[in-house]
Amino acid sequence: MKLSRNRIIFLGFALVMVLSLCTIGIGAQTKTLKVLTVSNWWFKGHDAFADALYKKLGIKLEVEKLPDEQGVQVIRTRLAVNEVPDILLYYSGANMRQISPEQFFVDLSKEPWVNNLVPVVKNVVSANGKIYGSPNNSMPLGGVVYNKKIYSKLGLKVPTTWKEFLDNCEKIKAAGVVPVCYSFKENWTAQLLNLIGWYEIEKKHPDAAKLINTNKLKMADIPEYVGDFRKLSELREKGYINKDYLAVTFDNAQKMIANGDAAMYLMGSWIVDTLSANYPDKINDLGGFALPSDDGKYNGVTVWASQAIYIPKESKNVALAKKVLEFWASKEGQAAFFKVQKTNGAPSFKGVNAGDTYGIVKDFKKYLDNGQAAMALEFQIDISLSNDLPRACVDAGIGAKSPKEAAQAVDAALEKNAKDQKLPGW
Amino acid sequence: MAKPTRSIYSYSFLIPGAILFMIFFLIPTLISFYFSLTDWNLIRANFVGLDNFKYLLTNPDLNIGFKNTFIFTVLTTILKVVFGLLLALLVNRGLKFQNFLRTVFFFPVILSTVAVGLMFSSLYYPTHGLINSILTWVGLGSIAPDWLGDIHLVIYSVSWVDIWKGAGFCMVIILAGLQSVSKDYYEAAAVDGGNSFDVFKHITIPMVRPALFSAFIICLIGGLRAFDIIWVTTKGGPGSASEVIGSIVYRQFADGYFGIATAAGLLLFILVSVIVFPTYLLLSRKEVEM
Repeated sequence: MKLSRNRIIFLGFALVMVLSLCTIGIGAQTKTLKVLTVSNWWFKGHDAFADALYKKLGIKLEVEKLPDEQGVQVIRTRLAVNEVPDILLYYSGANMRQISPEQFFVDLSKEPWVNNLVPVVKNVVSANGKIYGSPNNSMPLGGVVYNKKIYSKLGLKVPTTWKEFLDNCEKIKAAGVVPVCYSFKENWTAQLLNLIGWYEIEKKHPDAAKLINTNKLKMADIPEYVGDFRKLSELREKGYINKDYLAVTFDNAQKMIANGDAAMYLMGSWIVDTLSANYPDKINDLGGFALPSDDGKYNGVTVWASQAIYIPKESKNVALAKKVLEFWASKEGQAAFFKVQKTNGAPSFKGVNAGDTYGIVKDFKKYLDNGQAAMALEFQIDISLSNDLPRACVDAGIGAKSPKEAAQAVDAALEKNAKDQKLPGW
Repeated sequence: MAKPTRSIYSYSFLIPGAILFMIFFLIPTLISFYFSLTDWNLIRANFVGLDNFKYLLTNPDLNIGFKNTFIFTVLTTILKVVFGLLLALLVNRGLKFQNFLRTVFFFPVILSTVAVGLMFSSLYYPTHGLINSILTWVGLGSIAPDWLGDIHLVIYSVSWVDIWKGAGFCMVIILAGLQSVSKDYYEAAAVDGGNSFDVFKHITIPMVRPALFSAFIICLIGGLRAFDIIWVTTKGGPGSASEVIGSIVYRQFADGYFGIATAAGLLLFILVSVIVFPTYLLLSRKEVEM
């Protein structure tokens, strides 16, 4: 047979076709599941877990990470148009209940690992009595993150009343360090003061969450809540914050507190995930204490649930996805995660020994172990505040709204969402 | 005989475009009139009457958007046209580097809005941004404001960003008008002995009126609809201080309140129509016939 040029090309083409058919066959043997998440919900620990998963069950996870800012909108849109992954990470609590989980997610109530969940977590991953998700991470704790080196250098003690806190700020300011760092460029960080002050409110107003949920209690009528807005503005008025607070981002703030340019930062312990990656040698200078209340009676930390892992109903690999979640909840899966990633809070699964962790988490956990902790409001009510709460906090912090007006803005936001969801009592 | 079939034939070429226009523009616009009266999101649509409009017009955080849109539009439209005119006059004088200058002045128009927003966020940075650094260096540090943080100043700061970015566009439009002014008029003025100010007032301006008005209308519509330049610079912040109607629509969609967002979009539609149509009619009556 004469090998003319055309014949060679034809044979080469046929060879490529045959080879590509072979690769299809190979591909079918490794199961690949698509995971969709917002970028800052997925950490090294998850990658380590994905490796362990592949080794044990031969399932490969293809993770698509969405940018932090628009990620949530993209997820919601994709769900609505049925462009779903096999495994989806999303908020838990009211934010999850708002997007009709019965319609989009597989009911996981009968899965074997469900009873391994810590009770508060079980609540936040369920809607209408059915469990839809598995927690993505530990439960972070929130309070005041502080630079221990600066405190010991200036001989300061952890404050237990607001006045002691202000005195500490004065001394820190005199030493040329920014006492408290505000990072209002990312307006979600402005909410922290109100969020970490919740323990006091729960102690003084039992059932506050339930009453707020059913429109029987307004935020503007809770003096301690209005007082938290006052504190937010007070620190700015007294000059205890950084001058460029409206331009500083979350990343900048971490840099400031790690390097000792700022002494304190109101934040949750999820900060250790990025701090440990970016400032591994400085993270041990940092610790945490609960936000001091005005009268010093009830100081405690706030507990958040992490995001959760859901399985969209329209996925074509529901059975495999369930296996992934089963492995995630197992001791082996959790161990793979915590081997590479120290826990940023209290573990979400029972009986998990997360090993040693950073000072910030340990300090906050002391309050939790002592019973001085409250679940963040967003996990106790059905109402979701999305972007309206951060804006009210920024307005209060910059002095555009008085503390009472800011609390009223929060009430207006609660009303808007509750009416939108047609919740009873509104 | 030949004429009627020819015109049907020509019109039939418009059909594909017309269909696309109707499906993706006209019909959705008309449907949104209805949806602005509902609380629709991706899974339901209940009729709620005028609640959405009430919320938009009474909530203080949102009706600041209308005030800001007004300030932003007036400022950017007037200044873009004025600077565009001055720049066009400058690059029409027959200078040596005039083509280079035209490119330089037009360049901001084609820059990515996100890049421009980031750049100006950096320039406006209160402690070590370039603008405040220069002010401090010349001794005016004490009056150096927080350009994007002062709630009374922020909408003006953002307006300047848009003016910087858009003046070149107006320059190009006005330049085209300038170049179409026949030299005969200038010669006649030289013969009649007019000084340069008279020339400007009585010949140049009247002859470039069409270009000025085109630029004015385009900037007006663009200013009312502005969203991206504000969003990348301040995201409507701090708080709600630099919200405009465009950012309100975006934010409400992002939060899942599609009904309110549609209502805001409808208000914008009404606003643009009410402002632009009469303006256009008024201006076009004054045009000089060429």
